[in-house]
Amino acid sequence: MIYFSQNLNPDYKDNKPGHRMSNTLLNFSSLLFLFSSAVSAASLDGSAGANWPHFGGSQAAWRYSELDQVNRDNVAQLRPAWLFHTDDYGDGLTSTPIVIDGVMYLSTPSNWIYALDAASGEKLWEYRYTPRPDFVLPGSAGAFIQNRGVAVHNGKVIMGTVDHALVAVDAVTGSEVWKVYVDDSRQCGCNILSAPLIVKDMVVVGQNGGDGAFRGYLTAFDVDTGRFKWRFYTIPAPGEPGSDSWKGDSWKFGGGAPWMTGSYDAELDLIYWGTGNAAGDFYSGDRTPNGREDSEGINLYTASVIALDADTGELAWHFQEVPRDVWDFDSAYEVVLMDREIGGRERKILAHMNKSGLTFVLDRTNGEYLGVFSVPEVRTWITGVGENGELLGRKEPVVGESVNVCPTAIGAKSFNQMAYSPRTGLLYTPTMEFCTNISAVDQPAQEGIFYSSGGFVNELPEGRESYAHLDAWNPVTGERVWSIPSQFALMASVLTTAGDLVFTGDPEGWFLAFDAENGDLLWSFQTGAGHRGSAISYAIDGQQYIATPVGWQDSITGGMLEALFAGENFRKGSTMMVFTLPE
Amino acid sequence: MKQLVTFLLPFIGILAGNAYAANIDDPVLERGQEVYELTCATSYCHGPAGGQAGAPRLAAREFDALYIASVTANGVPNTPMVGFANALSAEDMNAVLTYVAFLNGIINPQFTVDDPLASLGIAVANPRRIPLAGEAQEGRELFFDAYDKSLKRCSTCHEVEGIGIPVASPIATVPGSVSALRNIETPNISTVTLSIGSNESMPALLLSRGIAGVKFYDMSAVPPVLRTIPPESDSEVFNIAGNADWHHHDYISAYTDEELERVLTFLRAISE
Repeated sequence: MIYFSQNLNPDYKDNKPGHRMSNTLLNFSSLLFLFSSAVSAASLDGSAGANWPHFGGSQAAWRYSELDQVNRDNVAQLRPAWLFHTDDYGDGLTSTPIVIDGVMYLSTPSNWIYALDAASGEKLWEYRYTPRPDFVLPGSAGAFIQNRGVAVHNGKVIMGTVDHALVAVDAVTGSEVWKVYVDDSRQCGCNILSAPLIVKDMVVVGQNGGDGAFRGYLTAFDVDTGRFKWRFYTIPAPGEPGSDSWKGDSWKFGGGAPWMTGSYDAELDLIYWGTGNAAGDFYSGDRTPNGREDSEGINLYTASVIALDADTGELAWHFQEVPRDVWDFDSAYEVVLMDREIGGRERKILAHMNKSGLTFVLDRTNGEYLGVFSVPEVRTWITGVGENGELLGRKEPVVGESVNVCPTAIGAKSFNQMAYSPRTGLLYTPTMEFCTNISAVDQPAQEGIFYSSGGFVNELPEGRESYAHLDAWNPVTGERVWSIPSQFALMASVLTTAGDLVFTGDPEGWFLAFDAENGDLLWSFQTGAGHRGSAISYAIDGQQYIATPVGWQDSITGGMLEALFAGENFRKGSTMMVFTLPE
Repeated sequence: MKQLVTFLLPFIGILAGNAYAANIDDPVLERGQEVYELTCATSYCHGPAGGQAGAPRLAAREFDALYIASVTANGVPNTPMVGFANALSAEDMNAVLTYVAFLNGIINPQFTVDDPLASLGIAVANPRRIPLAGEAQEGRELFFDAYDKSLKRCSTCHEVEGIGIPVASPIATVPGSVSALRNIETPNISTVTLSIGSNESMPALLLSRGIAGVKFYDMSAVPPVLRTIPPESDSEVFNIAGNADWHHHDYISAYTDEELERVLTFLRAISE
């Protein structure tokens, strides 16, 4: 924790003025840049209150609690209220718990669900999902053992499974109500690790496995019956609009998995979701139509933000962030919805970061590009972004060579989520500074099997003493307001509250609270194992609680980090830890 | 070869950080390295040249040949390391085992080329898929077609060759014609009425009824939904009666007659 200090200059010392502007403030339309403003009052409200009912706190993905009992003045008095060991050490504790009316619903890597008394930690019931035997396709992403959260609605707790089913459990008894196989994990090589999203009386879910040869999709089911409502393929079939952005049969195996959780705007009745990169990951020659320009969109709708009609799943608009991706820069992350006053009028916007750290700001009514900023301080994969959001100066992998680019496919941010406070108008996001050497291969596609079309070996950029930072960004101006360095990596989500606090955890086990206005470190607690999940806040009988999953994920990205920091002990675990103020 | 190993091992860590380990002139090792790089070293899992990436380092771990073969064949329980016994041909299995053995300083691991796992006494179930060609292979692709047929493919309800959701019982008899396939009788499908909220009736495939409650597939939807009624609610909310108005031909309407001919050819080929 030595790199977290309230005495540090918020600006990282290597990040000289001017350098930051050229590197991070890539392109912001004059509209946004000239008219920054405060948050207006009658805006979309993405707050969570006494409950934490959705993965992102609300369907707008703010990860913001309007509770302010715990605030800057008293946060240092936070004490453990209870803790709960899950007994599931499959692969860390990477989930976001849901809390409704004093009950916490917590999922674990092996698809267990616990219902806990959120005031005492007492177990109310547990459900252990049993996948089919032999459900994994060797050489596929379906082997990943994680779970990132459940959705709760109409008295049912709904979870995606390691063998690609969606299962609904009675919220009172923990007994299974319905189950439907979304696909066969032994064929697609995919499964469901992400939390589903509740949209009206539907549950919408994507899947992971976009680094394998298959065709990604979102599927909606009825919450009460489990019956199929609609499916949207993130890759159009021949004859559909956008299919001409794929070469030959490559659309069948083009990836584009929407592998995290989207957002929903009830007023516009639109669902927003980020999609994964095109497959194979590092080679685009077999999926790029002859003569097609990146500016026309290549490999639609991968590496995009898509907006879908909630009732039909039909595409309303799309914005492709990384046409013809060759860096594994998934754009599957959270879509943060907000209303902000820009140029004298309120606009409905969204902010969306992809793995590269490029964070796009769009008009969410129509997908109009408004601006972009880049969060990593070390960036070589592009030289900049053009006036319409197009990538400039792409540094691409070459077959048979090793090409060094920054950031890496671990991501300037991983799947851990940013937070947004309407009080400060700032996005709080964890950023990592890693580079990679990519060796591309022209690999034949084989249904369901890893389709990485190359390999990559990560490395630490030279001349740095720390490799991560927690940042506050103004999404309207594209300015970084503060930044606090962290030594190794930041792989846990961020929580912000009306107490003007920002919480996150680090791989060494520190759970930390910062001042939302300036990044001052106000409180820390050593939880005993690394952080990879998402902290939340809730209240019971007027008492506010801050809860965080504890337990490092040491496979996939976590394993890659351990390779970079040999000898560091990012401890595994699987514990829910809850804090509150003394009586 | 010995000289090469002596040269390589001290530098495995360095090699893993740069280009792939090269300079392998043995064709088995060369193939093993290829298989390893495309199957194991995607970097989401192991790294090039046996380095650590998303999964642990494999080089210079002092593994013995038996351990390498058994883990490669059967995986490590409760981890993302799954067994590759049925995913690789015997030739490729031999090559990749030889390569990983090489990364651990074993120069002559003595796997049997034609059946490397059996030569070490490692039992493996038969590979799922027999080679097919022509219309039988086309039928196989149609049976599992995730692209044109999407959820209305055969494997949404039938498990064949270890793929598909076993809603239906295993296919015991292959229908004699496309017409017979379309109009196959389904006497097991009944009408279930649930008196929860508004009375809701649906065609259903009953799986069990007893101490574990009632389990049935709701066949009104594609894909079918497995519903569970707790035992204490059974008599109150669950009612089952007679044959349902459910037809196989509605479920397979996405297929043309020509396509179903090929599906039948496939099913006959694998049942012989």
